[in-house]
Amino acid sequence: MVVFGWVLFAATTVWLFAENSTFHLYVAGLTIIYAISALGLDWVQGRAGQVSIGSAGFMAVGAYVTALSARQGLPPLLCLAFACIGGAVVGLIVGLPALRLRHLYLALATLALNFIVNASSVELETATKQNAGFTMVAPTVGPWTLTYGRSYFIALVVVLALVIVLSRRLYRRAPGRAWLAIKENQMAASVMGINPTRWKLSAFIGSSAVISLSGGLLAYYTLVVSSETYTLSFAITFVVMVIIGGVGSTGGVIVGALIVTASPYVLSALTASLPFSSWMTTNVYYINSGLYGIVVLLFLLYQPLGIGGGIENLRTSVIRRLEGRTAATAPAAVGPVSVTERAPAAEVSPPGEEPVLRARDLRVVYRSGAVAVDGIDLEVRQRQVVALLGRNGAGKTSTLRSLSGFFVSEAVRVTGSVQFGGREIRSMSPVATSKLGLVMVPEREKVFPNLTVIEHLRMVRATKDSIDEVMDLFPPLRLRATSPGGLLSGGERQMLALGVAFCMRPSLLLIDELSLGLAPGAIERLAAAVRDYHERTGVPVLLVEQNIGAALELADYTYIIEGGKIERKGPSDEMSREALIASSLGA
Amino acid sequence: MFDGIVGHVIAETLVLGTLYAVVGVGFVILFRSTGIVNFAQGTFMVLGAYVFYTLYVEAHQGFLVSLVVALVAITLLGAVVNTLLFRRLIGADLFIVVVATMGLSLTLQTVALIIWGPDVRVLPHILPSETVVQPLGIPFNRLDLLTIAAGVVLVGTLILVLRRSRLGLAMRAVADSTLLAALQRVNVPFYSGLAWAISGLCSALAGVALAMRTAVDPTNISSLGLLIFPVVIIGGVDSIGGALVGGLIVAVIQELTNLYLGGSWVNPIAYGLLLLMLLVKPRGLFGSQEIVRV
Repeated sequence: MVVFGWVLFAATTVWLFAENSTFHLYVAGLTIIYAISALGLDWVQGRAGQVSIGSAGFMAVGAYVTALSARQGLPPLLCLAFACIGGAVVGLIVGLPALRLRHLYLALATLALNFIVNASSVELETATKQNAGFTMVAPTVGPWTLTYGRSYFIALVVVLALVIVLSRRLYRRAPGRAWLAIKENQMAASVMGINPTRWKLSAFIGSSAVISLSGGLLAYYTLVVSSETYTLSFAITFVVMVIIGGVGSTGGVIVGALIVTASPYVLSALTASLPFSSWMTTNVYYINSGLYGIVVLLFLLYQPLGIGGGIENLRTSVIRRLEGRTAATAPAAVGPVSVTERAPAAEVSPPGEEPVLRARDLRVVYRSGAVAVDGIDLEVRQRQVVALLGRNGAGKTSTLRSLSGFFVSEAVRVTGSVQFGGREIRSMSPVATSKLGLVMVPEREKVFPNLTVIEHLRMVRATKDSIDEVMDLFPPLRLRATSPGGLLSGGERQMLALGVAFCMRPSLLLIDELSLGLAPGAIERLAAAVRDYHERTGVPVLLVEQNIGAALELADYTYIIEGGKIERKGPSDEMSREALIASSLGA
Repeated sequence: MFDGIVGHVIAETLVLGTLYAVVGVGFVILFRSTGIVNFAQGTFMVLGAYVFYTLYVEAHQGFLVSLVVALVAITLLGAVVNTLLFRRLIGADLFIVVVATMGLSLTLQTVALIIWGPDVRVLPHILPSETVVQPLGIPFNRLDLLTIAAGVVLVGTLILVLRRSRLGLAMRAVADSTLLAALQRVNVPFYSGLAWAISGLCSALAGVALAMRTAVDPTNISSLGLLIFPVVIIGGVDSIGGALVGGLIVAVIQELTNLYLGGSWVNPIAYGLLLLMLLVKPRGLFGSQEIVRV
């Protein structure tokens, strides 16, 4: 891939150089300058996982530093070096709040930078009476004066190649690994001894230096530095380049820069030669002004991973196919998982009525390729309490989530069949499954932090009587009726979540970790409430548990899951302690 | 008491503060329901102003008809962009969704350029501009009073609906935890659409009001629309009360800056304050803690 990219790069360079068309060379030069800026942005976004919409601000810093240094008569290379330093310093200042802030706040901080730099440059222009901007003189490096056309183009090709080589070298070594670790999981990274503060800041500073360099190059290219260039829309174009190119893909980002830079010219040229296009010719200027907005929307809808991601996906799926592993092709990042209907296995179920829930050959594959659930069969019958036991990471919660449709909107592939009340529900969303009567009490985030206890119950249209019933069942809730969910204790949250679930009149109740993080006394009380509810209503229950004692006490039938597979199953009273120990659970 | 220029500045501040608060409340409701930071609000404002202009000036409709149709149109536009675009981006990285609002904003601006062209349109004086009341010497004309009243009614209604109705309860539930709400049979996409519609409604009201005070000037209105970020960061992005206070603060800053330093300093000072706020108290004056930190 990389070799192919370089060959393409070299061939394009040679072709443009040989053709020597002023127009093509001009657009190519602009593309390279923008690509350098976009690569700088990708450093922060694609490698270190931070976001920025401040490219225009950083480029303006670079351009003005270059212009001011050039007016002092300094040589161009030194001016550009100063531009880098200036960008790095501003990057440090803007990066500081970034260290403590989430994503979108960081984006807003960089947005603020755009406005502040822009206003300062307007003031600078007014103060120095350069209202039309600073004019520049074409740079002279050694014996060459660089102007539009071949000379500047070749210089830019060299700079771009340097940026690519140096940045790729950096990404492959320790710094790249540190940034990747922070991007993937900051907490884990800091546990591994990677100082997130230092590395995030270093990415921010480095990226700002590169972006400012591109600003300096642009100043020498257009020979004018004006505050009118560096607007918010200009900043957004670079975000668009990175996104349509594919975050974290060097080649993709360069192609993204090419698309965004060249498409207005292409569109103008195309429409000019169309025979009946008076509407188009009058409006092409307007369309071009917003073209990158339209392009990015199309990409987000139809190719969310960008060009780089698309190629990567294609490559992975080709490789997988060659290896004969068609089952685990990488799914798209956005959108529902594909619906490949599959007939239920022809296995004869044990005597008795139809089960309420029957999962057949259920598989859950994460985007990383990790198989969380590896083809399990599971049944819950009428009036039955079934427990699914297993260690951390055995696939319990993934199983439960796939049953209730959690994964439908996520980049997780669920295959197999889930029959509930005689219907296939595997590709249904949580709203749809819960409307059918499949009610789930999740493991974490089981209450709304800002709704009061009473509001929780009103949410699910509980009547006054059923609210009273819940309060009688869980007396602590009565005392906290007007407290927001966020202030409840762990036990109270579980009580409230169960109460809400009972009020929803489920036809199957799924409970994820009833006992997690609770004291033994509290677990007993909750287990008693579940048993009582089950005996009163006959509603079948599927429990997921780590706490074997609590689960065996409640459940009629038990499955033990390990490594995503059912390792053992049987009526709970036949699940002897020895069997549990043998199944690596009892320890 | 507040005579001459001071009185005028105070009146102007109150009106602008109301409008920023209105847009801010729309922003907060959308942010809380969907997590989306909407860059298209300024463009919604511009579109509201254009629709109003077209109906009132070009189609010779009455003031009320034009206003209501403009508000309804942009409200529907909000719901439609959710259905066409943001529903399909559920599950994508939030920054990607924010970039989508930028793309949306650019696309809508392009559509507006094609339909209305780049010229600034001036609305005729719809209401006589003489002062009608002067509490404490602060002069208000009819448009000022109408603007403030409309803003108060809209925000008051929204707050009441959120606090008191089942609809509001479900919206707050979605804002707290989308997944849990879905598990409890709340139709999440419907409420996301509703939040987008409210964001459109609030923007359109502010857009029409600004156009009536100044002109249908896309550049000016959308740059005022961008001041929403300082508003919500100062107030706290997930706090409706914060949006009200933040709106007033930004209006005060804008008027004082205009008075003493000149209009070109409004953006840098407002955004400088945003940056300072991010450094010192990133959750804003009234925002909740959990929303900010890494």
